[in-house]
Amino acid sequence: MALAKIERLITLMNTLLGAPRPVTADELRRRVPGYPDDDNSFKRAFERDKDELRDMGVPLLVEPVPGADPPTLGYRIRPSDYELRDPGLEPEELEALNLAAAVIGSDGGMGQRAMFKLGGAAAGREPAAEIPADPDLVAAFTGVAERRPLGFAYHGVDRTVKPYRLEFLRGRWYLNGYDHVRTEERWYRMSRVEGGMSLVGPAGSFERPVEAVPGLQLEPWVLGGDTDPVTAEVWFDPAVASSVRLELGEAKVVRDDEDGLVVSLVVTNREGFRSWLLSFLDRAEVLSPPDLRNHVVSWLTEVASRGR
Amino acid sequence: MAGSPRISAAAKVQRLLAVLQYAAGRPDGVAIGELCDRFALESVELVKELEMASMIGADSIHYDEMPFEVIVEAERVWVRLFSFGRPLRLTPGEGLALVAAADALVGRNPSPDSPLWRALTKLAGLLGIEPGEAVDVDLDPEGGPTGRLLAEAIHAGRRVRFVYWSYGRDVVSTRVVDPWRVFASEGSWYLAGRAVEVDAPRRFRVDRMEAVEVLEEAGTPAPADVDTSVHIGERSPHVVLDLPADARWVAESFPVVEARPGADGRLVVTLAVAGTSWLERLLLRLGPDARLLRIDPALGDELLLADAAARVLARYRGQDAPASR
Repeated sequence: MALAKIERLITLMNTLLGAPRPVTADELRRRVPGYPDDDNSFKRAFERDKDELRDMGVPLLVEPVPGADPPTLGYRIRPSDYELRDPGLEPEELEALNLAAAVIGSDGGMGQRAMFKLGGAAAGREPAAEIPADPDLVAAFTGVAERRPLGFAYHGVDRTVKPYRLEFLRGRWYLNGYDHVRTEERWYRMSRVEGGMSLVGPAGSFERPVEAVPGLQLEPWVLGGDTDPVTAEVWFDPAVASSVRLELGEAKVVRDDEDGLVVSLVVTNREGFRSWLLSFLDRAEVLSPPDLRNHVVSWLTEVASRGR
Repeated sequence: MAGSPRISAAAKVQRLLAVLQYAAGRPDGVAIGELCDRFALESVELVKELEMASMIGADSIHYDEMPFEVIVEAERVWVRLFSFGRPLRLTPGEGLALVAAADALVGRNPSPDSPLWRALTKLAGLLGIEPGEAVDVDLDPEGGPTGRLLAEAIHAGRRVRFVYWSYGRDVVSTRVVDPWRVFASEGSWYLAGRAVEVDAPRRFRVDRMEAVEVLEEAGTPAPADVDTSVHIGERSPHVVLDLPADARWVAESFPVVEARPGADGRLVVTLAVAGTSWLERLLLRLGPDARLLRIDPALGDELLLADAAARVLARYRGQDAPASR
């Protein structure tokens, strides 16, 4: 029963917290009520409990018991590792944080768990927005926060990266860092990391750059492109004008009237530009420069001629 | 998102410790009702947990194995802590969840005196990061001015009307909707509600609405369980595409029904498709290297791509310059 498990976990933590010497599994079995009698069942239950404690963030130490013969391992929790340093939040700061955690939901209720630890209250409302978790996000964040290098595969290349910054943009997580293999700073889309991320060095392994990391550019006509920049004028059907304005921002608008919307964009990635433009079907047309217009026309001509 | 999520034993342990720490800070005891409100608990559940807590270590021969003293009497609780005086440190996952939530709300230009910015700064200090630098979350928490207007209409229980660009079918039309809920999913904002003309629940992208009006008429109230899934149902018509290796992003960007390796590093994927226009867009973007292997007749035939390309080309070959149209 759930209540019995809570009782067992709290008793287990209490027995280990500040124990003067490591406590062996056999001793825990005697002192913590509620474990099954059968040896194998006990082992399984004890392993599950250790996993639960680690999941909560309990720093469980495994050490040899001094003077034990034959040598035996024991467990304990050092209070200084266990305790949350008091961040010194004023009541109104705690309240603001509480509201933020309630409005922006997190996978697995992590924000709520954190708020309980900080002395906050339950959310009491449905979150307005949910930030999705990525399986490698916790490792990436640990790397950023503790300045530990990360190892992972990306585009088929094994990399070691000093992680500097995480960014959540248009529904996706990105990691910025210095890539030792490519010897340059790069952005990685978290969902494209292949086969997991691991921490490959001790805490404090590097210094973060003093200069702020430049923000991520996601516009398809810029992202990943390296051709000479050209300024393109693009026309949009009035029906999609408001949605395009919302996407691009007012600064790029040249003209907006009953004939449609015309915007100006600096293009450094032609393929990205073409792909984005074609997602509007015949509700968009590139007006200039002629070279870019021809590029789109020849692409369309090739596609149209197939299967005819 | 139906019902409340199952709470793990670990989360219950933390909640109970938080209840006890909160109560211990009140020497005169605290009312059960106040604890229930604060921790979103039913009174029966809370009292059971408190009674269990009062028994921990009670039958041990070691007095020091009793971590706390808990007395429940006349709808009040008194707690003394012998252990667990400080909360447990945050796990990286918990720290990130809070930093991300706070960063999303402080926005681009945070005021240094706002309580949330100060809280974020202190939290960042605790985690060893720079506030606003190590983690940056770009998410308008309300869905912009349109999202706010829709939220007001929901609050007032009123019907709304707007011009909507249906992306999947590439049709622009006026829609009348009883709004139920505004929500974000995968970076975009949506309205869930009842589409009045078809009398059925629908979801609309907030950024594809225009000229939103809140009407005088009252809307039908939201059902208990509003469907906020935004993925295309598996029963939608299917297509099978043979993609070159550099078009693998298709399989990453859209929910695929099936994917299997093809020849020479190519990929054969089956996709559920929302509408013909959606498929046309995808095929135009993929270009000549992608092959349409099979298409549900409900969507069109093998000439779909060539026709779509010809239609877009017609715009480029039109007599009039578009700006003068």
